[in-house]
Amino acid sequence: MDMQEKIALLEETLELDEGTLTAETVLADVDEYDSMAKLSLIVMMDDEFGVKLTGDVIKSFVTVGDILNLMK
Amino acid sequence: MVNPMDLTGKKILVTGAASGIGSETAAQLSRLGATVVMLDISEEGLSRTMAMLEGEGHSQYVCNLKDVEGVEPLMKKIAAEQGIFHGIAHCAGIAPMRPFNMTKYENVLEVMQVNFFSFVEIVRCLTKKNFAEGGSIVAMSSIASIHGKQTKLAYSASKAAMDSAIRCMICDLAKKKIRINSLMPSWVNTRMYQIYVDRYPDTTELRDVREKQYMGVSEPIEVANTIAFLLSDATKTITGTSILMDGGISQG
Ligand SMILES: NC(=O)c1ccc[n+]([C@@H]2O[C@H](COP(=O)([O-])OP(=O)(O)OC[C@H]3O[C@@H](n4cnc5c(N)ncnc54)[C@H](O)[C@@H]3O)[C@@H](O)[C@H]2O)c1
Repeated sequence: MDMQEKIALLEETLELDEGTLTAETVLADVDEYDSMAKLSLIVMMDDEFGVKLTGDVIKSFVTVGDILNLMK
Repeated sequence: MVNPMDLTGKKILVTGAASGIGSETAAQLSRLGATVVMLDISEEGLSRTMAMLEGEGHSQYVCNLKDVEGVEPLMKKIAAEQGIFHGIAHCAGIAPMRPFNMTKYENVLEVMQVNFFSFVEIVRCLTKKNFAEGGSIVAMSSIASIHGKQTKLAYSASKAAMDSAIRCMICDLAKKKIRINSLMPSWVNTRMYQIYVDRYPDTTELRDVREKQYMGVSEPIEVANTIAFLLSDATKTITGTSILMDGGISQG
């Protein structure tokens, strides 16, 4: 999956319009990134990449790029 | 001294015995004198629980309850090897959280297979010929059976299905002098709960638990004791009931 596809998947998971996110987007600036969105992220990472996100890892995310790094 | 919850001479099937409530229940039933037959997907966990049991003659079976069609042959094997049962404590279950928009048919199906379809199969198969008169069955439901949880559609539906099925079973089981009930806890202090607290420390659900679960989060041993009470001869007429153990959260 290339970078563009990963960003698209993230946008779909967080129910954002296409083109809303870049690797540099700061998560704190995204209104939709609430506790429900975090759950969606946890489920997507597990379904698609077999990655189990812990509370500490989620707290450590600052930018979209931090999430993209784990999407493999 | 009398102990109305004495289980001496009773053989009890405990599903989900490898961890959490099931593990605590198997251990407590053994301390009350029961012979325990444990069932779980985790062999390692079963062996850990086995080391906690008091007394002799306990056994364990590994199986995956997602394979619903495998339950009947497994119950036949268990019946052939173990003989007559006096009780079932059904504690196996999964509780995945999923937003509604990511809850696909396959996700609902898996939860229904493990939490509901296999439960019906276990009770149906084991009560045919291998259950003693006066026997009792207790299943782990959840407060989610009657309270919607935004991220637990499949789980809540599976527990509601279980409670509903239990009410349909009482008549047929009563003819064999068998009782069946379920427990509906809110959060119990197990690994399931600790993972939830770790991942979602500031959800409204946890705030409610802190503020409105007035008697606090239940400990697994309290659940185990309530199961033991319902399995024991302390009660002969409680059947078709789902007992709330929620620290008051659903009333306040
Ligand atoms: N912990 C809580 O807060 C809580 C609250 C209400 C209800 N419950 C219910 O109580 C029961 C036990 O919960 P717990 O907290 O002890 O959970 P747990 O995860 O610690 O234990 C569940 C057990 O079921 C087994 N299991 C899971 N899938 C299986 C499968 N496919 N085949 C065979 N075994 C399988 C697991 O290996 C595990 O040993 C569950 O039915 C749960 O829904 C728990």
